[in-house]
Amino acid sequence: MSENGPAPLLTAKNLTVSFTTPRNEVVAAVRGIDLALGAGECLALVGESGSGKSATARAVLGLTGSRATVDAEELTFAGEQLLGLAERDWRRLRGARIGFVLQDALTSLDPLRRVGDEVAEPLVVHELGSRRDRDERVISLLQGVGIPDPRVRARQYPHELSGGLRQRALIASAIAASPSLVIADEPTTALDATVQRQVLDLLSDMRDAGTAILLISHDLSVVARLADRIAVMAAGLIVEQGTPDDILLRPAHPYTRELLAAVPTFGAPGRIFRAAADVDTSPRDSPTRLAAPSRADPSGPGRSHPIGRTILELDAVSKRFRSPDGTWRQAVDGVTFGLHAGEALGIVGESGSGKSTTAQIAMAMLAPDHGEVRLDGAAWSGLRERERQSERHRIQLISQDPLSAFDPRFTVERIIAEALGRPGRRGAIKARAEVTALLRRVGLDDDVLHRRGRELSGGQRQRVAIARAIAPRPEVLVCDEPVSALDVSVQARILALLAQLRHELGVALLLISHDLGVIHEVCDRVLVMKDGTIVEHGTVTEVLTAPRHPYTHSLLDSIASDRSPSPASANTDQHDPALTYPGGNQR
Amino acid sequence: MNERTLSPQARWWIRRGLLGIVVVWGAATVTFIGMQLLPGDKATLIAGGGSLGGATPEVLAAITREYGLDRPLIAQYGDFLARLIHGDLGTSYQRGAPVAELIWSQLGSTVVLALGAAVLGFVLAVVLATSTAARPRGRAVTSTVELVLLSTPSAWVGILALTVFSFELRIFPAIGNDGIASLVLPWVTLALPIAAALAQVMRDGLERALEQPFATTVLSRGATHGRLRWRHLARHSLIPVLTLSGWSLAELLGGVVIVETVFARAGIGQLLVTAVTSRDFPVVAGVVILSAVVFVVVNVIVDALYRVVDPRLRETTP
Amino acid sequence: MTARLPATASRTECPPTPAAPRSAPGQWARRGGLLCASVFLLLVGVAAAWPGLLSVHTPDVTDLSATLQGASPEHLLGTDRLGRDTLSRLIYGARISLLLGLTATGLGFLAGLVWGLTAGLSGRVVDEVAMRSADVFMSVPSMLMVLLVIAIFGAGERNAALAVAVGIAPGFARLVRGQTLVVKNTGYVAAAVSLGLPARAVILRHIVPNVLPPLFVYATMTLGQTIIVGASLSFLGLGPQPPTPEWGLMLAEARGYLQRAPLLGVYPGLAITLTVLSIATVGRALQLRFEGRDAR
Repeated sequence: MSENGPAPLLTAKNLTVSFTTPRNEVVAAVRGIDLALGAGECLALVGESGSGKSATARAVLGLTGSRATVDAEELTFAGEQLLGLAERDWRRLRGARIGFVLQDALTSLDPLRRVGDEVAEPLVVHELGSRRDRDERVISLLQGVGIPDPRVRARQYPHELSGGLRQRALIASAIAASPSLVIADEPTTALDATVQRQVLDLLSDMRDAGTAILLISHDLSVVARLADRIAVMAAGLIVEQGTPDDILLRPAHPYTRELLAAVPTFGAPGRIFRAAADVDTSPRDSPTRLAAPSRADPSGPGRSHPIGRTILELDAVSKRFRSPDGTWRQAVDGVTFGLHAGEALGIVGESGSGKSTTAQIAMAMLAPDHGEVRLDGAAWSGLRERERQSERHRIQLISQDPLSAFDPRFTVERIIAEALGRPGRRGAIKARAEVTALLRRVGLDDDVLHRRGRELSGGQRQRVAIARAIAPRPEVLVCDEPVSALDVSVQARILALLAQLRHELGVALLLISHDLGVIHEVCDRVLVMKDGTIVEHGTVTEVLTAPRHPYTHSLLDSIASDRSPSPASANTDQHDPALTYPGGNQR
Repeated sequence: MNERTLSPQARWWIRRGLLGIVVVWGAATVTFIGMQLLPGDKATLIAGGGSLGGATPEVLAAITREYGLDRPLIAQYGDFLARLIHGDLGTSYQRGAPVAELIWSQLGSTVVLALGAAVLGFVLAVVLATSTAARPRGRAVTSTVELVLLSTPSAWVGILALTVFSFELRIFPAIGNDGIASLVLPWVTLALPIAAALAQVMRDGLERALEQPFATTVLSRGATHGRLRWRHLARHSLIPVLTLSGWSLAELLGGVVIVETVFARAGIGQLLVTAVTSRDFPVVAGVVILSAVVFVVVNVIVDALYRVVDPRLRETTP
Repeated sequence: MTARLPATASRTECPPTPAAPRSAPGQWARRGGLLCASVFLLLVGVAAAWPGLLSVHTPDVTDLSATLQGASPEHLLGTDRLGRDTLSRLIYGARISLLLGLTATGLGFLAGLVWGLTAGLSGRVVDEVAMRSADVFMSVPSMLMVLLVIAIFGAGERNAALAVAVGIAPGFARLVRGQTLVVKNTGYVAAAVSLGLPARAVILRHIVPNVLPPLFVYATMTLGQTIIVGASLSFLGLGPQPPTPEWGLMLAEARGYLQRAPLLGVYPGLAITLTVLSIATVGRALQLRFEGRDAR
């Protein structure tokens, strides 16, 4: 229905959005883009943070705020000119004819009002139906978006719903007044993989029922499932636009290819390695050219590291916590596994599966209620803190949020010097050479030496965190969601760095992630955790290709997309070599 | 969580009640310790006050026996607590009357003063905050005024008010407890700093709520800014106001002491100042214990209100 | 990245842009206010340290032939009920008013620091006891706590300062403990522990230095309030005793002459308010600076 439809529902020609900063500087967020969206069609805007995709979405709703200027040759919705619309006329459109779905945050719905009241608000505002009609409509809307027990849920408050249900309620509220266009800004970003899939299915049903969708996301794999067309945005411009097949299989623009390559997914096993390797060698990354890790050929020798003795061992470890309501929650329940020296072991699971608690226990930052952790065959969790101190350097942590892992008063130099056992300003100066060498090793220059954590970018921070972690020459690196706070293009490079360090230093990696793609990139073996227990384990290839546990199936299903390209055609080898990154043009 | 066993609610109230009792017991203990720290012989202190000449040894011995001053400290402490439970706050050194009676006789006028000021302060704050939130110009002016008010001692505000409205303009009486007219200046004096502080946190609360994603959601449904402000944000701004209620109460009770002195009004404040000046410790202790009780009661009410305003708190135990 | 992409797109690994500053005109007003506040505080400081430098008269010379006079070249702000020069008394009064506030804040701050650190760094039992006792102290309005202490030890400058310190210490303790818990649970403390640093090094190198800075801002704000409480105590006759020149006391003395010499009640109050306002202004500037540094 989309291809040869009548006049498009939404048209933008040369749309620009710019913001005036309080210092009176003008920053262009959107710099002249063209969009056309037909009735019942789904157009996806894809780009990293700051690419202007959200500003575009808000411009269509007139919600860019008082500091923004929106301009265009043409900006029409259903034939109506949107530019210069009075606030009163905007209100007529918002909620009634254009619905808006925000990313689920706890506060995307008013936390102090009942879900039903929130869903009904567009009806109230636009005076649609009597009070009783509205109540009935709310129930049927909630039912329609797949919320069980709608009558109960309508009377609950947003915090009583899970993230997935909240997101559905948000969608129900957006479509309450049956708008012909729904704008969904990162509708699945905060959700677990399985829930993500359900929400996408819901949006897909809506589209099939004739509602046009403008889908905003940073995640190509999400968008691929749903979109009729994809527009890739970078720095306020649309760099490429086409059908999902065009974009995914024959990406023309290097930025698109980088996005594709960087998404650590495994829709087609084997595909990503090459792409990631490509990115690794990209000169923009760092002065140190990171050698493509030995993983270019998954079946090659790089797969089989020499595996040594068991360095870290968890033996029937359990831990429970007290919830605020006084009940006990079993976070980790009888977890047993061993990590061999030099090995990379992944733990995958959704939030709340107990994987982070497991990491804390392995680090001996938390004492297990039952069971024991042994380090290199000797007691670890059973030691007293005083006895443990001298051994602690053998196992180091890399966390999701490196910024909070740096003392805000310390410069990079002091952070790393302290890890080298040389505290204080004077120690830092004495250790200068060692510090610089470590920074080089993780791909950073001397110019970060005197910066503090907050003055670094996300990628740089994680590199500093890695440098600090390897400073005391550990035998185990525990990486807890090491890349989930980073932009996708940075993710791949950090993962490559970890793989490389493992190779060079022979350090064992315990990599914890909610993302099988991330695990796949670095690890040999993987454990799948759910509700505090390990439900499946095996080599990464085994688990990915022949999952045994239904939960692993659902994890895989939620990521593997029917729209994703087939393995053969996706291989980067088939790309025109001229389109790969031109080397060495940055430094 | 959703068990219909009635227990979470009940358990919460019981827990709050017990905590409150602990706090009052603690305050009572502090006053008891304070009493032990009083310099000089206690019997002499008790005998002191009214009788000018030194008490005879016989009288002192009688007092010692009557008050059990010769018994071990722990027994005295037990007696003290036991009397407290029966509402006996002791006897004033100076006036010889039971402390509870003294306080009771002064309570009415102080409650009227404090309650009136609390209401006035709250209303002023609502007006100031809602009219200036997220409006840079109005905000700059009122926040400066608020800062000045918070930097001004109540005693001076009272004296200025007296100078202008009582002595120059002769609108309100300068002193006394007669009728509404004599209450206006004390009310305003007491209410101003509270209004200033409440207005600040309310405005902050409003502005913070305005930045949350749901504000965008609400507008994207076609709601007006007015609807956003009154139907959604107003409730959010009440939360910080509740948070400040303990402070407001302390400010009221402390302010009462000053205001009653400036305007020469009879009340708990005057009673307290006189007692402190004349080292009439039981009266001071009585007022302190009473204020702890008031504080606990107000806090329980506030905690309950929190749970009314913010459903997120309903299932957690504080 | 590639030449085909606009320059800004290659900033994925660049430092984030600094937070936007507040509006420009507001900033001018703020700077002006800060300048005035600093100059005034400097003046008060000089008056407190070397009152003789600023004052022509001595504060306690009475002249019963010239009581309650208005402004004159001889007495710029007139004289009080005993014919003493008001301006001199204001200048000499700065010392005691300031000292009262400073001593009380300093003592309260130290006590709160020890109290809060102990609670935050010890086990659950100690923490519980320390915080419940803070609850008890805080359940009594600090003004009443102050009066209780004075009722025990008697009126006077030193006792007033001690009393005010007791009044504010539990508030500090709670803040220190909260801040300690926050810092204790940060990633950098975890990182320091996992490096195997001894507890003492973690506490002295990472915890205490990060607990303190926000407290200094709070202490500055508190200083203003303790000056008000101190002056209020003097006003009630429970602080320094006559004939000491002190602002609260001057206010109390003026209370009886509001009809005949209304300005007598204006000056000391104005001195207190301007001092407290200046401290608050400087405190706010410190806070903004501190937060700004943190937010970047």
